[in-house]
Amino acid sequence: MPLTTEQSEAFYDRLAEAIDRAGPQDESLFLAKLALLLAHALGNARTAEAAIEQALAQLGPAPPR
Amino acid sequence: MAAIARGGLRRPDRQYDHGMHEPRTRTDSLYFDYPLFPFRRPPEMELARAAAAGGTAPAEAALPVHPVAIVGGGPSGLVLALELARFGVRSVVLEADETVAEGSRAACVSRRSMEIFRGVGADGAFLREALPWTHGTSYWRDQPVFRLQMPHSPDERFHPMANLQQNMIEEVLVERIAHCPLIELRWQSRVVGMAQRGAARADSDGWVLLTVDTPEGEYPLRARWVVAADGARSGVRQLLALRLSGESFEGRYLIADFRMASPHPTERRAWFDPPTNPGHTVLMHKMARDMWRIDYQLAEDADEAVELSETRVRERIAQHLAWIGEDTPWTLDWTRLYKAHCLCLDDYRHGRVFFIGDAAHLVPIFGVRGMNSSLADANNLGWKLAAVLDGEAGDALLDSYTPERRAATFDVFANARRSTLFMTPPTRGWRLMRDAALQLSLSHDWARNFVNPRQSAPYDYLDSPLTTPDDPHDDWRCGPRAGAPLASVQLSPGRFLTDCLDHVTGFTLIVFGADATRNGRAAWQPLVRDGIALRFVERVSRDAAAGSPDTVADPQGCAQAAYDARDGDCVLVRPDGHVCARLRASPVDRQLERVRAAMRRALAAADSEEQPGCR
Repeated sequence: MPLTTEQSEAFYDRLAEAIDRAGPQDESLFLAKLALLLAHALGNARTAEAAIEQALAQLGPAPPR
Repeated sequence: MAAIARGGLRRPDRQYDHGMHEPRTRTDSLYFDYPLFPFRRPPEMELARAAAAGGTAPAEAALPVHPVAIVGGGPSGLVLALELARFGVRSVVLEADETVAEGSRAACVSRRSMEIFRGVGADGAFLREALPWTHGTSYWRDQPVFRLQMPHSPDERFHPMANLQQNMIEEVLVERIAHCPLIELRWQSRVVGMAQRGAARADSDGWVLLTVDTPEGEYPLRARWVVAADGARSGVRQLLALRLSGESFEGRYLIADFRMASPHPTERRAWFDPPTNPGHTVLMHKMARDMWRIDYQLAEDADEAVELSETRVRERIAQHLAWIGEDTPWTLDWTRLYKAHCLCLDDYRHGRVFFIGDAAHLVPIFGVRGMNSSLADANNLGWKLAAVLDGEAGDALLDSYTPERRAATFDVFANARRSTLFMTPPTRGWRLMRDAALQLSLSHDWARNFVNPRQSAPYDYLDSPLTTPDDPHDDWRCGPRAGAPLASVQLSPGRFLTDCLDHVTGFTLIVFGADATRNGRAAWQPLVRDGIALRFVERVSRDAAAGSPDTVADPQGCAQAAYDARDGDCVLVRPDGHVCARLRASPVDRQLERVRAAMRRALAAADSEEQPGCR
């Protein structure tokens, strides 16, 4: 069951605040832990792995034309 | 130095330990007297001298033929020689060095390896000094994050692991061999040449001609079969121009043995990111004779020459011992660098030459699979060579060695690779995920599984062509699957089901409750003529079974319960202790046929015999 718009927005806000609380030193570690926790709670390997690919897509600046 | 030609086999990276014997001079050790084994002139050299005195060279065809020549006297080569002897097959072991391996090296002996040692009658000598253990602790900095608890129960004769330094392991095996007239162990004998003559199939009259270099010069040696057990930088592998393929890992470890009379119990301890090795890993094991082994990872930019200096090694060990609160005095004994690999040959058989142990595959030390998988190679190949030499099986049985053991190698790779990436994360991504898992494991049970060191476990030959798969209709709820080693069950105090394999030299059929079936035992006797040893597991007391060597007394019915077996069910066991078929009861004539078919299959003879000659 996908999150409602309201729930998504609330998670977005919490995550932004949490990344700031972790600080530049620990933000990667924090996000890695979060990903493991969410994947475990999700209980669906295919969806979790698809999310990795979706998050990897279009990272960084747009490629030159 | 003796005239042993050693230069050609060395490589620039020789300071790394890949598990092989490094050519070396004897060192002083704090706890171990390295025996010096003399070179003894072999019959082949006497023949050559006699021929030379007569002005001729000895004819190749006049040389005696050894059924099996084993190149390399490390644990796998020595165990193979003992396995062959157990089946009545002679062998000659050619060891380049003049003594056993130096240092602790492969120091953890798995339960399955202890069972293999028992099969060759050497388990008692091991147990005298080995330190058994069942558990371990992994720390992240100073926090325990994982408690390793290996499966153990009163049904097991042996602990899941026992620590004994490799030099001591080899000494035990050498002593055992000294009492075995079928094995000739030739020291200071390095194979420097090899040629295969005639066809390579078991049913043809081919052989292998080896050139052996010794302190008194070279001599030719003729063998029907050759087994390369000569370690990571196998000379035989180089003579055949074969290459290992796979992957190597960047992380480097320094391994050190030191003596310390600490009362700390025997367990595996691992530290991730301790203050004594920031960002890196440290492992510690207790070994026999008050010796300890520490393995610590070196930083990526560490200078090996500096790290290997005794002052530096002492300083680092002292730092770590102080940090864990160990204040027992200690003395350094031996150090070595180590790098992890997952490399193997594409085929473990090349004509009349077989590869076992590190000569066939290099595996990371994490999870203690190096020597333990090498001993399983010897256990697998021994009975097959014996069956072929005795004419009980054809060439196809020898062809089953590669698929069975290479499948086991890949299983080792899958586990050891995961351990290696966790122990020595090669990139930022692997390191970040490792640290995330460690931190989560402080508070989440499920995350502790990431920290599990995945210790060595026996490999089940489930998909082997020699295995008759379990019939899915048979609905076995427990017990060893077809392909697994026979499972241990304690039947009465100190007596185990696996004892029924002691001294067997062929296939064994375990029949549950035959006396209770309509036909009784007599109906099974025809199988004895097929070379099958019969073992009847009966609910009788030990006293009642005392006079009957083929009765296995199971007074409480423990084995029957552990195997989910009913009266008349059978388990057929290969000579190497692996189950090749388990069969639910059927009318006895049919059961005998099913047992015979399973044995033909396990001897790789099923195809030729089951194709009807005429219709």
